[in-house]
Amino acid sequence: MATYAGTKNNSQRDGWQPTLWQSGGASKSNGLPIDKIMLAVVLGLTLFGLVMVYSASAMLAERNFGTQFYFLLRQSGWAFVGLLAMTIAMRIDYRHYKRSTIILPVLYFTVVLLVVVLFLPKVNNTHRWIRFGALSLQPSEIAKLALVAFLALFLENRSHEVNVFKRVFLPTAIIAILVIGLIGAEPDFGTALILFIVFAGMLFHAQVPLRHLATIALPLVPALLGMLVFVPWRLQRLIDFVDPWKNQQTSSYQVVQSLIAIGSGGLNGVGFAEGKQKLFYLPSPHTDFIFAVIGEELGLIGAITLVILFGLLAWRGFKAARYAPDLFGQLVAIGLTVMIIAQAFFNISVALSLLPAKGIPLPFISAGGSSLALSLFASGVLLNISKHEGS
Amino acid sequence: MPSKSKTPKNRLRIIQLLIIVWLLAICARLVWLQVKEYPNLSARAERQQQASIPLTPMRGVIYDRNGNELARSSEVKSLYAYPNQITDAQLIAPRLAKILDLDKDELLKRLKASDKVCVAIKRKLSDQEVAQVDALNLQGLRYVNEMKRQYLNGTTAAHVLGFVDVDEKGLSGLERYFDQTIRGQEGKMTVTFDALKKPFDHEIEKSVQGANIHLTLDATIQHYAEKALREGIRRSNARGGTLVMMKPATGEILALASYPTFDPNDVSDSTDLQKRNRAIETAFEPGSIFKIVAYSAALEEKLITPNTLINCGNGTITINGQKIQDTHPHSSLTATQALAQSSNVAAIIIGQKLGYERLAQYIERFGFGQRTKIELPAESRGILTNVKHWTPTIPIGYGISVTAVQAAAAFSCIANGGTWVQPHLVKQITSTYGEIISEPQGERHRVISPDTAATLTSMLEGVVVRGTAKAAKIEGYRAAGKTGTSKKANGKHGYMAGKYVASFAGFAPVENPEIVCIVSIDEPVGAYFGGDVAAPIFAQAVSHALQIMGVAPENAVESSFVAGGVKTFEVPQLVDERPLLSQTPAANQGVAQAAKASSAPPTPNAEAPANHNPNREADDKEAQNVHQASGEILVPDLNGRGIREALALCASRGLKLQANGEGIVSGQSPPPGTYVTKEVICRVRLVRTMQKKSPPARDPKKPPAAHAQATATRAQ
Repeated sequence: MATYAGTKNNSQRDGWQPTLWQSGGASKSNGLPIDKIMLAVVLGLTLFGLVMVYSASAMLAERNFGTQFYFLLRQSGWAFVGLLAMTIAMRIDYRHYKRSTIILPVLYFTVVLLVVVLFLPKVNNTHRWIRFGALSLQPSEIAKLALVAFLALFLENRSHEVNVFKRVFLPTAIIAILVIGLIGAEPDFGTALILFIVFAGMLFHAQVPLRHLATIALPLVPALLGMLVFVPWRLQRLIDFVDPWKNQQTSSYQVVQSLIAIGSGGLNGVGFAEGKQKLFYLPSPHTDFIFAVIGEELGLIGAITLVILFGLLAWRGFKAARYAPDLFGQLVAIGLTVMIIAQAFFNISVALSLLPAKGIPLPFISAGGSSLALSLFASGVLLNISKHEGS
Repeated sequence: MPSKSKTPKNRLRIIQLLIIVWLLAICARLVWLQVKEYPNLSARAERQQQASIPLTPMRGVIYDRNGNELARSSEVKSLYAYPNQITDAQLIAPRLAKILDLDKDELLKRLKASDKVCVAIKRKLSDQEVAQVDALNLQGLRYVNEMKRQYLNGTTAAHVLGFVDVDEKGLSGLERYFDQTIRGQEGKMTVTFDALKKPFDHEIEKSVQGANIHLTLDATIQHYAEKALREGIRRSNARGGTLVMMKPATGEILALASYPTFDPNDVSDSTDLQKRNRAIETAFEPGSIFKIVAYSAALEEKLITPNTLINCGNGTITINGQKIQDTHPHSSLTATQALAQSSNVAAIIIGQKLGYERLAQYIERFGFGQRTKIELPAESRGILTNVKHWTPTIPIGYGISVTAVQAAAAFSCIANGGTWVQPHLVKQITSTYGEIISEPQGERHRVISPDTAATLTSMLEGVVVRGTAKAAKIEGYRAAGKTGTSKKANGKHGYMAGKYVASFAGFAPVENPEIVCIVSIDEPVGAYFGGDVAAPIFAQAVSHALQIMGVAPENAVESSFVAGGVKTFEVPQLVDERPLLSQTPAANQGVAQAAKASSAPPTPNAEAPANHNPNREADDKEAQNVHQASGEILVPDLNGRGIREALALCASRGLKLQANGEGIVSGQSPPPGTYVTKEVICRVRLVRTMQKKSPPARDPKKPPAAHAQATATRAQ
């Protein structure tokens, strides 16, 4: 218990010594053992993702790349990179990042990338990717981390004047709207929406007055309504969301196929790799609609298990936030947890036709390198925060 | 820190709460979709992903009693197409249509039905069609193996076997009765398609072959029985007829024929009349063959003996205001004579002695009015009304309708010593692997005592030997039976003039009956008496059957007759139903002697033409009249004489003689005392005295005394 007391003392000091590459969690002065439940959930999700990516993509890979393992191998590579990043992040005390000299350049760099990507040629009809040879990078993935880090730093620095609109809400909102707006311009409304939720969640937790938060809704509501009314296909999406079966051969084809896949899974599923909906009935069965493949092949049991894994991750993430020794840690933990969980639940809700269709990958599961690597790195940071006990 | 960390935690709770609500919403939606909507959505999935093609199972084989295949299925190919893989439907439709003899436009429509993954083009192609289609070398076509039923003997036993439809479903006969048993289990091929309608995978659920059926039927006997029936019906220009042959000891059906017939291999052109199995589906008023019921009952109840004299009231009796007549009047006959002459009056009197109640019991015990439960669909139970509604004509077989199978079962009772045995067609049912699944034994129950059966047998033998059914005689064997000729009811209360059902039911050999056979002919034209129309068919069919079964002839001479290739020795018999008084061998000598005095030719029967040698139909037709009008020759009694003596005797009268065997004459044809024309060859059997086997009293050709008086008829 001596270590516990030591930790407490350390955490209250400013001149703490971060311990790099420590092997035993509790052996050093500043660390509790890492949250094994969270680690297990993260590793479980990653492994589950690899397996499901294989099942969902084998046919597609066979057809397009001549080998059924194409996506599996790529995803495995990214998982390796991501796990490496997670291991490193796990061992770097998160408080190392708590410096404007680190966070602000990252934020500026991200904004530049987000601007640059708009001028690059379209990939899949959007400006989301920056390609480096065989690899591709989504600036919006980096933007998620950058925004979370910036908001945490800024909110902690000005936590004493949180009630002052101009000092806290206004600057954060400007930065956030800049980043979110750039992502929305790609267009990637899904990620934009997630970032907005993260932004709102972090400000909410940082005790920003609710009336400040409400101001952002004032211009947002007419803007959203305008988008719905003036861009016909968005309205169509909303109609399809209300009654997906109406246009099942045309506009709501994707959602209908997803519902058919999940529904036909029943309680036990049709069996791993036995799903039929991935045979080009489902659009992007290995990415945005991988949850439908899971629902079909593993049934209610598999789908609920996955949802519960994300629930566990949320529980452990918020637990880390609750016990983080400083507001920065709390806000980073909340930002990252909300980011991962909101993405996951949003993706699942789209597959279940609970929310209108939006292209958001399922964290840890969907094929896609930057998403997986980022999720794993974020988990590493969360795991590191979990090692610290604040109160 | 404390003030900072306390409130954020409350706000954190709100965030956590929102997350939990979202999670629960997701779970609820999952349960809704995967439990409540599961049937609906999985059906949708199946509809868009799969198409299944049923695989017809191999139908079981039907064998005859000797293991010959009667019906079997074999694989043929059916053609299907995947419309989405057919690019040039316009081009190939006319070519396919030409090969397969299909409508061009209809085929084009099917090939272009892109909303369907798989369409049937034509089922069960011939080998030639397959070869031609293959030669086109087209994309997007697929064969599916199906089964086609083949009836290897064509029309033989068509009514017993029945037929199947294009899906191998049994529609009539055994095919229908045992459809569930021999159909096997259907399999299916499920083809999975991807969203581009390309077949991705297929899964075959194998079909299971159906059970095999081994019949009691003998294909060869059936063939000859059908031949005899067909020829007989053509001779009589009749509408149709039926023949049932069974083993009296076991109830096994050896042959069951119905005419007109059809080819089960292709029933498309067959009429309902052709497809009707008259043996079980058609009930007819049996007429005189039904008299055996009253006679057996009376014998069993000891009301009569074969020698009981019955007052036949000169051929007329009025009962309940209904006048019943004999074809030819008699004053008084013994029971044996009355049966032989088929006296209606005598049968009515016997029926009265029994009383309706008792008669009804026997009718029921003989199996009339109930289905025999033979293994065929659509069996009629006949028509038997409640005793209260009986007409007085029941004892003579009017006012009741029976099926041929019922009648065959009833005659089996007499032939087998008094037990009713259920007629059945199936010996055993075996699985594909040869295990016996079932081996039906058939019900049986005693109807009359063995004594009664024996007595009745000898009385029925008298019918063949001396009575109305001489045409039922079988070379080399002794036969017994009863003729029946009934007017056809017009469906209201009367009978149709000139329309008859002519029947004969009997069995052979008398000593140890192997075969019971009933022949019933519907609306013969010209000769219409059972003894003329049906009895020769009986003789022909049973004669073949006995030989095929290897039943030893009842004496060696008969055997040599057969061996010598002389199969029929039909004699221009006097006609059925004719009051030809014959005698019971011993006891009635007196009566016989009295009758002997007159030997007038049987002129009154001109309207009932004789029908003798089936091979000489044309001659016989002419002979029908010539027979009595012009120079007949009295056939001498050759029995007991040597061959030279017999030759001399015949020569002196201008008769030709044909002899078989060695020794002295022991049986001749025509019988002594008959008037015959010059064309008739007199045939005799010769035996060495030592080889005489059968007791004289039982020999149909003996004693000579009886024969001598055979024509002494109409004295009374």
